[in-house]
Amino acid sequence: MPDCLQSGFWPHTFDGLVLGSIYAMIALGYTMVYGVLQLINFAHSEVFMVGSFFGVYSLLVAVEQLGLATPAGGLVLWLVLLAAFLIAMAASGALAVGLERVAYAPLRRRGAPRLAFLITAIGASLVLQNLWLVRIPGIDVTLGGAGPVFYPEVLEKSTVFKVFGYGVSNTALMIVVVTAIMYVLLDRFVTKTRVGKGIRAVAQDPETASMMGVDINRIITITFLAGGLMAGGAGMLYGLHFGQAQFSIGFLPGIKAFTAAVLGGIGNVRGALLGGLLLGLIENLGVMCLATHWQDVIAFMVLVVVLMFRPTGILGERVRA
Amino acid sequence: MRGKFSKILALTAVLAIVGAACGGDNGGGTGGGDKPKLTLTYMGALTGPLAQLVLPGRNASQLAVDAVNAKGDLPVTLVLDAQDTTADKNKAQTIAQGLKDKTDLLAVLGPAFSGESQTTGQVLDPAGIIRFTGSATNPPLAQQGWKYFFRGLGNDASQGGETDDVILNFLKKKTVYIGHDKTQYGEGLATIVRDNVKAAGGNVVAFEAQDPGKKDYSPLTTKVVSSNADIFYWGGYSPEAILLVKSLKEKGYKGTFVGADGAKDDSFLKGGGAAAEGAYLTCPCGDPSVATDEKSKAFVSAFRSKYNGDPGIYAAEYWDAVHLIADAIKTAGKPGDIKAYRDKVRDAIAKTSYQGVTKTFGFQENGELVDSAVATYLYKVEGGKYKPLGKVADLK
Repeated sequence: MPDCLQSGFWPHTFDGLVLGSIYAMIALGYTMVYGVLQLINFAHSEVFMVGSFFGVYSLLVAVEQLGLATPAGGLVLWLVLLAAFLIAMAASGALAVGLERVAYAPLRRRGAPRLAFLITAIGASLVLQNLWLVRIPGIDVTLGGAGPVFYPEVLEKSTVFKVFGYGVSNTALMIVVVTAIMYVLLDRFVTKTRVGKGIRAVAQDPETASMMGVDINRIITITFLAGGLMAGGAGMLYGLHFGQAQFSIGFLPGIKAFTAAVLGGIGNVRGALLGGLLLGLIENLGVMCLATHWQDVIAFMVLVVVLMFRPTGILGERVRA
Repeated sequence: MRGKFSKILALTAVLAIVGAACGGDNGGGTGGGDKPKLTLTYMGALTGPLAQLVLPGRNASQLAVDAVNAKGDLPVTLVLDAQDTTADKNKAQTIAQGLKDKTDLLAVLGPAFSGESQTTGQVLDPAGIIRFTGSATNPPLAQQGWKYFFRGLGNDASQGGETDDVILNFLKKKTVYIGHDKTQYGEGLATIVRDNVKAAGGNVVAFEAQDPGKKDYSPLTTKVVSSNADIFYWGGYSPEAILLVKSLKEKGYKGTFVGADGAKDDSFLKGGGAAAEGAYLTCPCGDPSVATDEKSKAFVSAFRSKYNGDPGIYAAEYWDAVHLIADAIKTAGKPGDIKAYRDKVRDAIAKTSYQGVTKTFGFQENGELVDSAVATYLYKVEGGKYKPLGKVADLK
C-alpha cells in the first residue's frame, strides 16, 4: 500500500467528517426548502454567514462586557459557548423566516414564475453579503467589514486525541458531535411529529395536503426556520473552529452544501446528511495521493458521475423518512 | 406616458454619471500666487483584509510629504492623494485610467502589490507617469520595457533567491513543502524559492496551488503534517498565512512555517496568535526601529508621534520614496509642461544616489535597484512580535 494511503487515510477521513458535518448542517436548509417549495434558496449561504457573526458577537460581548477570561475554563466556558450557539441559531432562524416573509411569500402570493424566485434569492444573497461588508453611512458602523472578524480565544484549542501523529482538536470534535445530535433530533422531528408529517405532506403534494387541513404557510415558515437554525449553529461552530467570521464566509460552503444536498438527494433530509458527509470525505480523501489543487475537480467529477447514474441523488428526491 | 417617463429617467441617470465622472477631476496645478501643487498618488488596498500590509506605507508617505513641504526647499508643494484599489488588479487598472490624464499628477507611489502594478503599468507607462513602488516585488514588473517604473526595494528574485540560504543553511533543514496562492506575487515567489531550493540540494516535497479566500485548508495542512516536511513555505499573503499556521498547529505539525513579506503584517501576529510563534518571514525590508543611524531614528520617532506605533512593513520604503522624489524635483527645477517635467524628474530619479533610511539608492536601466542596494532580511515571530534577525547574507 503506497505510503500516502497508509499515513493519510485516517487524518483525511477526520478532516472530511468535520467539513462534511458543516456541509450537512447547511445542506439541510437547501434540501428542505427545495422539497417544500422547489426553490433553490441561494440566500441560505448568508443565513450561515450571519450565524457565524452572531457567534462572534456573543463571544465578544462575553469577553468585553462581561469580563470572560481568554482562555476561560469550567462550566462558565461551556455555558457561554452554549449561549453563543443558541443565539447564532436564533439569529439565523429569524433571518431565514424573515427572508421567507419578505422575499419569497409575496412572490408565492402572486404566483410568480420560478425564475423570479431564483433572481430574488440571488439578490437577497448579495444584499446580505454587502450588508455585512460595508460601512453603514450615517451611523458609521460596520457589521463585519471586508476583513475577518476574529473570534476571541475563549476556548483554548487542544488536541483531544491523536491519530498517526495528526491531532483532532476539541472544536473539530464539537462540530461532528453537534451535527450528529442535531440530525438525530431533526430526523425525529420530521418523522415522528405532526408538524414533521405536515412538512412531508406538503413536499409530496401541497394541494392535497391543504385539503387535508395542513396550513401550508405555517409549514413553509417552519421549514425555513429549521434550515435557518441548523445553518446558524453550523455558522457559529465553523467560526469558532477557524477563529474568524467574514462577510464572504458563506459563499463557498454554501455552494458545496447545495452540491451535497443534490448529491444526497434534493428534498431528502437524510440525503442532506449523507451528501454532506460524503462530499466532505471525497474532497479530503480524494487528494490523499494527489496534489491538493485537484480537490475541487475531484469533488465535482464525483458529483457529475453520481448524477449521471442516479439523477435524483443517492437517496432520491422528496422529504422522505 | 410610461415610455416617456422611462426615457427621462434614463437621460437623468446618464447625466448624473457623466457629472460625477467630470466632477472627480482635480484640474489645474497652480495655487494662486503660491508654489504650484504636484500630486503623488498612493495606490493600494487601503481597506480590506490586506490593508495592514498597505496602510503603513500610506501613513509614512503622508508623514514624508508633510515633512518635505515643511522644509520648504522645493519649487513645488506636494500633495498626497490616496486611491483604494482593495488589491483588485482590475479595479486598479480602472483607477489608473482615471489618473492618466491628470495634469497635476507627478508620480504614483506604488501600487502596493504586484498584480495591480502589472495592470496599472500597462496604462500609466505609455502615458508617461512615474510609478515608484516601495513594496511590489514580482520580478517580471521590471521586464516589460517600462520607462517610468522604479522599484525601491529588492525583488523576489533576490528574496526568493536567498530563501534557500535561510532554509538550508540557517535553519539547517532539508525538506520543504511549498504552497502558493496563484497570485502574480505568491506563485512567482514560490516558484523562485522552489527552483533555488532544488538547485541548492534541498528536497521540495510538494508544490501546490491553493485558492485564496477559503477558510478550510485541511487537505493541504493534513498532507503537510503527514509528509513530515521540516519546512512549510507559503508564497502568499497574511489572511491565508493566518489560517495555515493555525491549522498546522491544530494538527500537530512539528515543522517550521516560513513565509515572506506578504504575510508580514499586524494581522498575522494578531490572528495567528500562539500558532504564529516561531514562524520565520523574509522581507526585502529592514526594520528601521532597530537601526542606529540618525535618519532612521528621526523617521521612527516622527512616525511614532503621529501614528502611535512603530512603523509597519514598507513604511520606511515609502518615506524614502517620497524623499527621493523630492530630491529629484530639486534637480529637475521648476515645473512647466507636466509631461516634460515628469520626464525630467524621471531622469533625475534614474541618476540618483540618494541616501535614505533604508538604503543608498541607485537604479539600473530597467528600474530595478543596483545590486549593492538590495538586501533580504529575516524575521522571527517571537512573543507576538517580529524579531529582526538581520540580513540573510549576514546570518550564519
